[in-house]
Amino acid sequence: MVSFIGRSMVQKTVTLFFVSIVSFLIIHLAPGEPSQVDPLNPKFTPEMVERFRKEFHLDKPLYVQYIYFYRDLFTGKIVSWKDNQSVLIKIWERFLNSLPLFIVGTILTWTLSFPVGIRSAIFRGGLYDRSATFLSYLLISIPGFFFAYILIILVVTTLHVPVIGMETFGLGASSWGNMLMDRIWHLLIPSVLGATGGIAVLSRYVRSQMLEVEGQDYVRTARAKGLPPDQVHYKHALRNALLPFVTMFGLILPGLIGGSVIIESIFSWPGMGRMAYEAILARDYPIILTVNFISAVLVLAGTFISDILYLVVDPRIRL
Amino acid sequence: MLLSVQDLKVYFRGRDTVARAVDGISFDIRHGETVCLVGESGCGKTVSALTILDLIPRPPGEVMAGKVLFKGTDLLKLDDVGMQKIRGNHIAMVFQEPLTSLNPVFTIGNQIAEAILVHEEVGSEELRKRCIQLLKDIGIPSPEQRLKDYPHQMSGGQRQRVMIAMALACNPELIIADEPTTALDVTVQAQILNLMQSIQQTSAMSVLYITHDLGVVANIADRVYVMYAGIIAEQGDTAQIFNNPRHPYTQGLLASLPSRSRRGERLHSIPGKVPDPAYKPPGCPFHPRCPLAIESCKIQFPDMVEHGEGHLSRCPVTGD
Amino acid sequence: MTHNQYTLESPSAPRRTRLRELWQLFRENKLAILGLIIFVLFFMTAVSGVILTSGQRPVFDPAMVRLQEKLLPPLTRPHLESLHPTEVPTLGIYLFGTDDLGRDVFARMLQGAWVSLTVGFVAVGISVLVGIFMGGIAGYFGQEYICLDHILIAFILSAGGTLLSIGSIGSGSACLGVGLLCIVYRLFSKILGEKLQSPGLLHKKAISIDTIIMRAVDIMLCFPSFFLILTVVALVPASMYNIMIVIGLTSWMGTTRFVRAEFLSLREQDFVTAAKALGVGNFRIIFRHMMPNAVAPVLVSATIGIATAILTEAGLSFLGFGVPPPHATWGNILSDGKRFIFDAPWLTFIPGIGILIVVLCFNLFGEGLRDAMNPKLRERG
Repeated sequence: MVSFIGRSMVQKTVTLFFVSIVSFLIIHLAPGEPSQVDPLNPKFTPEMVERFRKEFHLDKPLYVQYIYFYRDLFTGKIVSWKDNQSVLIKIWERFLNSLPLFIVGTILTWTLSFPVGIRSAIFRGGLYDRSATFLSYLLISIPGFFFAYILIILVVTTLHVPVIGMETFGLGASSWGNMLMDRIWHLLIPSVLGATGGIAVLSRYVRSQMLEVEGQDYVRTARAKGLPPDQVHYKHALRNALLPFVTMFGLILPGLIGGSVIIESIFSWPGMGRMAYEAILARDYPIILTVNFISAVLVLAGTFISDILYLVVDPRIRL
Repeated sequence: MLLSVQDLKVYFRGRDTVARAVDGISFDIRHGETVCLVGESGCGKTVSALTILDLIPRPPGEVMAGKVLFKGTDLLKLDDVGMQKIRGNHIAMVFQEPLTSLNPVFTIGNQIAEAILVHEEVGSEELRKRCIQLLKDIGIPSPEQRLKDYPHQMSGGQRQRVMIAMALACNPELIIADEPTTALDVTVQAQILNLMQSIQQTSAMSVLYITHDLGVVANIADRVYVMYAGIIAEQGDTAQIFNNPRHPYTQGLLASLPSRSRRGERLHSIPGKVPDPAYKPPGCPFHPRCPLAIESCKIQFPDMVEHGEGHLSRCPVTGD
Repeated sequence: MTHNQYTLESPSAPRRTRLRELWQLFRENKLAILGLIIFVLFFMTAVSGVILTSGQRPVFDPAMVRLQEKLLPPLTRPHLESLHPTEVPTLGIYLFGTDDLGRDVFARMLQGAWVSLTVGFVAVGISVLVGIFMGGIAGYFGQEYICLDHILIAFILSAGGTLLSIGSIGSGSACLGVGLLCIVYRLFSKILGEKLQSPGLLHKKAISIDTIIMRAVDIMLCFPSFFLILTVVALVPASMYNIMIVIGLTSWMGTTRFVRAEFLSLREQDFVTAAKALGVGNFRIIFRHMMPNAVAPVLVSATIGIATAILTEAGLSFLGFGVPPPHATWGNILSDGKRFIFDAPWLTFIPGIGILIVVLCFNLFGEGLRDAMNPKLRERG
């Protein structure tokens, strides 16, 4: 066990190192430089560009820039090129804004997918299964931004509640209850949007896992013992079908930082995704690279947690 | 009569075919008797056994006709709840693959206890005692510790013993054993067979034993039913079948057994293979492979011919 | 036994080819057939679209601006009196309405269909090619080891290349020369056999090919994919081809894993061992014996990959990073129309539903294919 953890840590660190190099190269080898973003801007005089280049080590060779960048990142001194604010603080603020979306979305995804998927599998081929299947194809196929507009039109025209942004501007003087409802309305639509794809994919996956397990010999054994169908499905089959999903808990983690660029820009939600989008537009390399680095860390941590969880849940695996 | 299967037909619907897996078989099991169902793989043995407890997957499987009378009640007419009361409690089953037939995520103690709890109200202390007793009966050493083991921590033979313990949990009147030793090593096979025999002798329960291994049949069976392509080809006492086989198929099966008296000779084999249940030949299903086939075999489905007390064979040629 | 040899030929299951059987199974799935039909229609629309909307005087002009005719709802007739004869839409009617510049949305949708189609196919083509190549190598040659001297040579060569590209010609060409010399030396030593052995240390096995490729997959999987695509598309010059390449190069990992797993299990199979024992060459084994078995699951994931690629392109266009204007894509029609969502909802709904239908058809088709090829489902009927 300990050796497994150790080996996996070393491997993940090496991977992380290469990720940092690759992302650095992708950004810096692409044509164009941040100092040349807007040559017509009168603020970008040649002297300014020169000072800018010097200040952010852009005049040094790439590997020196790389070392400087990651030194700054690990000491927390890294600053945005756009406004000289600390990148980590910026990310943290945006992260707190994205967090509610993430939490509500994840809860929706996981609480809805399982009942739907299990029911589909048990009544395979029935009306419920077929409509759930078609609906999930529809939800997988619908472009997120299009669905967003459909929901906005529906909600705004039928319920007359504003949904753009995190809260309605100028509502400061109204009652506490109104403020809360306002917040919830603003939170709900983007969360539902963020969850739809996940619900569709996950419920299909639950269904196929469940079907796979229902065909196993031990389910037949359970029936042969005289167990009632509920116990057969929800104890013997479900317990086995759940194994792969336990490991998926780890894979939620990367979703923390991603946020959805498209959804956050449609709803003007000042979260991580929108910040990343703005950083890309402004060629603010420190922010792009830091977001990338943190998300790589989260992906690796997620797979690590998955592996560990798998060891814990499946009695067949012992190290 | 404990169990009487009468003219059972089980078909499996394909896309554009119907596989007649079991095509009108009848057999009886008396109290305390061991009955063997013998045949090559694919001849419908397992389907018949699963149908008794309503365990065939439906769809595509479908019972087309027949009765399964257990102590007078037709099991095929029972509703789901009635069937659950029979399963495990009155008729228990042991499957072919001990590896996959035990649930990998529960301890064997849990799985045995469950088999008892479905049908009886038992306190936790007594439950534990009964589980330990069961494991002791089937010859698993230090049962107290092994209750907490998971199936993957046991050997194949031990797992099959656990399956048998689960089947014995509620003292059923009938145990259906579907090739319980096929997946095991030869030495372990013998142990499991001995175990089944001794259990049967002490508890006087009936056993329906399904196998393709004639050696096993000779050892344990009181009566034998030889199946071919979904029908019963021949039935009778073990002695009748082994000493005086009347159906060409049975004769072929026996001739293909290696024996000490015919050392050095070439082993006999039956040419061809079992027909696809969806494309059975007309007439006697065995006629394409039969050395004695006559013209009428290709058209006429043969009737049972009696050769002696309870000894019947479905062959008009050897019947005369 | 001879007397009835012929009767041994009892009626058995009629033989069908694999492909035919697949088609039979596929035909059962009505949704998948629907997907296939829509796909064929979409394909024809896209091809006729690119013919009808391109050239000097296209039949449908997607770029024709008629400011006096802006934001007309679908199925309106143009005001003939205020239009120049050449400005009248070809069908005599605005089938899908007009946008804020009075351009015919029908013509723009036709043009956009081709973009969606090519982006989907080319991007997935790239990702499948890369995926099969990497996965095939990892699965088939994965157990080969790369030795230290290989790494050394590669390092010297790449250092030479870098130095040359930076501008120091002297040291760069020196490095390249040394590297080439090393390769020549290695080749010679291979041909001459044992005599010219290089020092033992250099022959230490460093890392297996399989490890390298699978670590590369891990590294690629660490990037948040849409964010990565967005970043790269924003950095490189905007063009349709760049988008295809970027989408293709960031989505090959799944195929690689697939093909590798398939190859790993296939190379243990008896028919591969038999082929090897007969002295069949590696490449013949790969392409003749193993690839046909591995290609089916790749096809399924490719079909679904096309759906994803179309969605990704639409998302990029929506954010303003897609195919540059004035070329119309379904994503940027929607993106342009979002400002008029309450006044001109058709500008949102027509491209939105278009994307939805096309992506849906690819998903249904792919899933149908997967079901037909899944032996487990086949057994259960």
